[in-house]
Amino acid sequence: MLSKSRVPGWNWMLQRVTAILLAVGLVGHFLVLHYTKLFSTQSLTAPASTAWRFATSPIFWMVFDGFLLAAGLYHAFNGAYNVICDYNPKPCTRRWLAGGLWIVGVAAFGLGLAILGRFVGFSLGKV
Amino acid sequence: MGLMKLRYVEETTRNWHAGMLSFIGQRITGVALVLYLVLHLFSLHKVLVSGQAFKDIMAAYNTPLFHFAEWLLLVAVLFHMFNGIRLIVADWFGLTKLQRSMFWVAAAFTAAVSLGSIPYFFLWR
Repeated sequence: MLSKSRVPGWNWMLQRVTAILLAVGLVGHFLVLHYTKLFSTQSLTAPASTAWRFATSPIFWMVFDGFLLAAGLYHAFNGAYNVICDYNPKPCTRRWLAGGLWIVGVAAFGLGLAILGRFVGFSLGKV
Repeated sequence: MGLMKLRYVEETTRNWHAGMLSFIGQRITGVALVLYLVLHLFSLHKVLVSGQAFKDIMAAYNTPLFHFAEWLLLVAVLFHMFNGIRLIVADWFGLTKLQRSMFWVAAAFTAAVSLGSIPYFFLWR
């Protein structure tokens, strides 16, 4: 007889959905932050189209990185929870662990948004 | 806990194949990336203190040792990503029969991009 999983199904599905979001988003994050020097300068100085201005606006990147941060934190803390659950802790310990990880995750998300907001402020010359 | 730890080591050594390598690699890189995420937020939060504090910590990271650590981070991200894609593809498309060969494909992608990034991390900065 199959026993009920220690980790709920939606948890499993969200872990995979956030994994795909991260795989796509991290490529953009790395390219923009670390590899922009490798792109041709011509493309960066070409007459700005509306789409290009939108794609290079700090607000766009704040929203992009905000979603990336949320996906990353969920994937990281849910992954850590799943790893610990593999070692079969008591139900009470699991509940405390899940609650604690949610609190730390939400706090880290708030800190991340504050950091992103400051970077956007620097980019717009308002800080 | 001690006995459990020994059991895991024993199971690992008795089942030494691509699936086990994938499991161990995904777990080790996953834990490492969670720890890195905390360090990443700690480093970047200096921008909330002052622009100079942020520049100072970024300058402290600009050493050959940290460039090597950044490259190791890239290797961990790439392995976790490519192996994770392999897991999802095997899960969602019913390709579990191919999962072992897909592991070596994921490892090859990891190695190719990691080695291809070496000039950026160690020569062009």
